[in-house]
Amino acid sequence: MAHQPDDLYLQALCLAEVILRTFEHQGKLDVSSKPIPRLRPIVQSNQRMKIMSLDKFDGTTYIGTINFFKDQEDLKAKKAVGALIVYIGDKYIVDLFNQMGYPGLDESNDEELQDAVGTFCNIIAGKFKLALTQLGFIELEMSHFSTYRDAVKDGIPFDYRQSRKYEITFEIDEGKALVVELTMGPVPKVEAA
Amino acid sequence: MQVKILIVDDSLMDRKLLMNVLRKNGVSSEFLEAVDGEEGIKMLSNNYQEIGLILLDWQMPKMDGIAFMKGVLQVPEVSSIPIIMITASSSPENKKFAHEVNPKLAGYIVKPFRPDTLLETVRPLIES
Repeated sequence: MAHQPDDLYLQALCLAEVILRTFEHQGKLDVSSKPIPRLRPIVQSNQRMKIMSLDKFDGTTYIGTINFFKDQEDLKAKKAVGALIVYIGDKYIVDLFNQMGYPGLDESNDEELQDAVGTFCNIIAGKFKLALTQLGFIELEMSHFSTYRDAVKDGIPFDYRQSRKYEITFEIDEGKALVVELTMGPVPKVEAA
Repeated sequence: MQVKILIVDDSLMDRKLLMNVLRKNGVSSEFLEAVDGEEGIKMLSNNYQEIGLILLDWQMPKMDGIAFMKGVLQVPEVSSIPIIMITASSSPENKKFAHEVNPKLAGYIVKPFRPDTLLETVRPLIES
């Protein structure tokens, strides 16, 4: 099946909606303005996507990533069709997680802060892959989360034939609190699967 | 006497949340923590006589929750320990697959979960 050029935009809108609903449902957090997916070029090296947070937040940024796969076979072969990347600045992370019901996040514990972003990424990825099925896409498999601080030196796996990703920024109480990125190769629709 | 619970989850935050809810509500204060299926299997082998319940994530490095369950089901000494899967994989197909792998699966809870949902699933197993 040929890749529909609009699929990635549709998927990015779906991801934004999933995150908004999670904030409303879990944390009762109010997002200040409607998040809009913005197209960005992918910078790649050795068929991996470079990940840097310099343009996302001032100061330390915690990063969580998850890959998507078309099926179990691709998951075992580590042949990713997509990637979800979550960036949260250190100024927002503790508040965000307290409001989402996670107890006692220690802001001086780097490992705990990284884990928190990975946990959030995992929750969002699970909801997102279900939401994609409601748009008619096949159900994707997902990886476990990985976490980093400020940058991912060796990049992350993705469908290296893709050259673009969507970036979505979420502001809470007028402050930039969360940035997510999504890239996805062609995902078959259920009727064509 | 309280039941010792093995939590197998790569998320430190989720392990803390699970222990916090179960401890605060008097379900148990005795836990073993594993960060992936491999570590979970090791802990289970060394402590199976004390463990009364397993809370299990799906997506984990090294060995995922499905592979962990398959391993557990092959060992008669541990195969009767109830397992509750707690995962971000929320589709009916995922749930069905988990039950196909382990027909004795005692519960399937989707993250993020409400404390009440966890307690309602865990309490009958602990009491029995």
